[in-house]
Amino acid sequence: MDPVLIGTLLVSMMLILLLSGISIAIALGTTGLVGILAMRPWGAAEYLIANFPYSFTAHFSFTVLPLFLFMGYMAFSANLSQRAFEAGQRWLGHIPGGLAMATIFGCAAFSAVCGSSVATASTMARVALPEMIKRGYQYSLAGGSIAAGGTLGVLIPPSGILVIYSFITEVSLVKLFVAAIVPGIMTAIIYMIGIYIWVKMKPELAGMDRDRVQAAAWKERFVALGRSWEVMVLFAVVMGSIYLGIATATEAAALGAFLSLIMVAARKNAWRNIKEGLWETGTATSAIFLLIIGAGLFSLALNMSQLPTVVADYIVHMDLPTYAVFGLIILIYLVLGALVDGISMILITMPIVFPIILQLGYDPIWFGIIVVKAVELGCITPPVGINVFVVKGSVPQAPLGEIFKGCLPFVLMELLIIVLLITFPEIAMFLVGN
Amino acid sequence: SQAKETLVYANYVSEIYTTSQGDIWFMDEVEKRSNGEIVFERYFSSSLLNGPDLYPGLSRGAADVVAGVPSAYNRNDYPLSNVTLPFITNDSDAVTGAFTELFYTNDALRKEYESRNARVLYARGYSVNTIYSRLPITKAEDYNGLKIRAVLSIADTVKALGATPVSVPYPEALEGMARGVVDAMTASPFDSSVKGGLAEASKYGSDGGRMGVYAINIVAINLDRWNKLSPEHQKILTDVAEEMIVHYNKMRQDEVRQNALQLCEIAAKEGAVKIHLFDDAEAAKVRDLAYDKIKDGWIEWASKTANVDASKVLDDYIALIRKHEATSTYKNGWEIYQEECGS
Amino acid sequence: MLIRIVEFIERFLLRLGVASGFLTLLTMLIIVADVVGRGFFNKPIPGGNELAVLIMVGLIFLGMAAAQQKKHNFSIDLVTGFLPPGPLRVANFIATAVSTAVCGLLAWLTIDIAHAMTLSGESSYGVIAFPIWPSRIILAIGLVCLTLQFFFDFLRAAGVLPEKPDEEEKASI
Ligand code: NA
Ligand code: NA
Repeated sequence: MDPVLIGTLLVSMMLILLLSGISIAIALGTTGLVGILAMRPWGAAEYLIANFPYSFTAHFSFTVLPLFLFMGYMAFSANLSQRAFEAGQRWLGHIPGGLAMATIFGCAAFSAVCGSSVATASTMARVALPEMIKRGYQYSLAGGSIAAGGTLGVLIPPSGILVIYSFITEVSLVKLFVAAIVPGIMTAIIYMIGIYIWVKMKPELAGMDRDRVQAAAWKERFVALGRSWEVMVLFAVVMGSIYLGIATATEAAALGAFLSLIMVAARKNAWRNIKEGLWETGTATSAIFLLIIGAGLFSLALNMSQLPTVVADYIVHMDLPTYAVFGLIILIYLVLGALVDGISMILITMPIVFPIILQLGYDPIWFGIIVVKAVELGCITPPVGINVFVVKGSVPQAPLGEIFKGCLPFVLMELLIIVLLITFPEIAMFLVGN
Repeated sequence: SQAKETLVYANYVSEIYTTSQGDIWFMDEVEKRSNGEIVFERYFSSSLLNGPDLYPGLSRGAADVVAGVPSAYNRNDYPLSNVTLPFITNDSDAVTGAFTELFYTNDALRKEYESRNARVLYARGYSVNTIYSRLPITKAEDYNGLKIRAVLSIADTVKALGATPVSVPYPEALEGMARGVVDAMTASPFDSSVKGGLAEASKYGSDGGRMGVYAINIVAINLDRWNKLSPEHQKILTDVAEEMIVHYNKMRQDEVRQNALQLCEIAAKEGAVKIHLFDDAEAAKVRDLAYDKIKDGWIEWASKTANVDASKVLDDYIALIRKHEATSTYKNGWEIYQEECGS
Repeated sequence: MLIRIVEFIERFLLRLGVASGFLTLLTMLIIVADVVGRGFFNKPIPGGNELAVLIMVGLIFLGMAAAQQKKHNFSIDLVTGFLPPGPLRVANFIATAVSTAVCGLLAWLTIDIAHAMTLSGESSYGVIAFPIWPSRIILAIGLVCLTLQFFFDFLRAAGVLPEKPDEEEKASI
């Protein structure tokens, strides 16, 4: 049978299963199994399938995933999110839209210790949303800045998405982390500037200056910044131990996790928080890996059908300009973003998208940053944006439509940032070197 | 005309490696010579099977032809295939010829493959070992106390020299060495050290005391699948395999020369890697400290695991190596380096 | 009686999930000890990386059933969200049946390979020889547990068991 036909059948089957409400991992895995069984004799298929769960997961570098997850949970239990937000509040609270900017600051700081966008958004929603509503902020600005700020979680290292990307594309995780630093900070700054302009245009969004916070004294500002020292220490330990050669990326994750554990152990309710963090880490890790295995089986079957090569060849020979290629790819993520979470999006698309990128000669590290951006864009756009749902889930009285409306300016900013990253790849690449 | 035979080929590295290029030449040639009656479905870069899964997968028919390193990844299943111990030779061509010949002449080795439902098509010696480091390594005693990323017999070797072998995964070690996660990296063939960026990323490079060729890459076919092929098709595979070795040796020599010149270029740059080769006395010291230990260790372990007298296999192998060395024109990377730009 | 047995097994599967979580701690401690040992005393833990991988396999697979029980596995309710109760039940029935079958096939095949690898004493060889076969066994156990959990979900969808009250909303990754 024609490989393109088989491949297309597989993709269709996967989509139908997805829509039927079966879990994403099983939908991908089922399609993979059916594909492998259809294209190989039983004995061959038997070994390929039986060996796969072990062969695909048992890699030392994969330990970063649970370790960074655990660090994020510990950082939350230790109230690091609260303190980061308070520091932002002291510094920015008196400016128009200052609380929203403080939220972005808090998100960025928390992102330095948490590798998940959803976890960042849900944590900051609990911390910052009630505060903003109390001060008369509208749900659009308040919810939008949290949903968008959450996306920093997977851009500023550590980043779960970059871990997955690194694993399936075999691109250096350290280089990806380093490449993400400047775009991460730049995104946070652009968000803050965007909020400032937006609030200048529509002051009522930020409660028409009602209850505007007084500018905090400088001493107070630095005290608040000092109180969020743990975030800085954790970030310094993780990125620092990588730079100084004390540890590899994997080992740095263990050091960070260990340190965050000590921070929680020194606080009250330590045992309960640690136990809860371990339980959450365990089940979250299992769920992610079930997804990884399912996606891997799907990808194996798709490779056997040779569809990815055919599609890549086709697109390469179309000779499209850069913006057209990336426009197309981003469009795919926007559509997918309406259906699935970030990790699933990467796992589903990479088998087809990555060969195209390689064939077109783009730098896979730089592309990793673009992918994170595109994936996260999908998480804040309607009809389904997982970050928006997370904000809604954390603060149920927030109207969904308002939050989506509040995301729109951030979507525009994101598109601007993506264009900047495509036009000036150095933004991501200059820290990486050669 | 005969029925069309599709053979699924799997490799764990990408097309850019010389071994892969050799396989591509082999497969193209077989397809051509069989008038398209034999075709290969090709999987590179672990897209079908990972390194450790190639040979187990071959046994069970998950692939029909694989290019892999069973001695590294499936040691217990292929103990005798580990016979290429360090310090035996610096001649990759001799290893290539000797191991392939050993397969056809040594019953124990052939049984090792047949019992795993495999049949060797051809084997290829890697290029000689290198060691790249943060500190200069020019004498046997320089090994003392270093943390060295190493695997297999080379790990045993550096241990015998007083270093601590560390098993950080290769890419992490490459990133980590500049920053001191490990002091040195070895068990890396001459050509891949240059091509993979290890030489460029390091401060010092060395032959480590002439450890020589320490591993082979083996291309094998599933035995059941082989038996199902017509005698004509079998003959095409055998003939092309034989020619492949000649072709490959030439390709490999060109490549190593190119890598050596590239290393000259890299080393000539300001502040770049400094290359120090061991002199005869120090190389002999390294060998004296390590060779007997690893040889005895291997013979004991392989004899037990394979249930044969492994020392006999080793002796036969070394004799074949010497035979092939006599007619070989191979120059290893360090020799070429020394000739072209050595001081 | 059936309900009692299922409840008992499900509680056990949750315990396994807790155990899986605690393996995070163990993974972390081994790696930290390895880094400290190597960095300060020039004495890495022999086979430390391999041990960390073995424990991670436990962490991954032993928690799968608990993750499913707690509905941590994402699905898309774009279509099913609009279905009336009747068709929704049918969709749910099919989804859980397919999940049980696919996971059961995977579990069965991994048991087979775990058996073969245990007999042959499968091991990896970096700096030292390290057994891999225990990972194979743990993995197969984890998948069998996940299959059981899918089967219980199927029994609920088929109406053999009563629905569980929704305790928790979907997880957040
Ligand atoms: Na982060
Ligand atoms: Na969306």
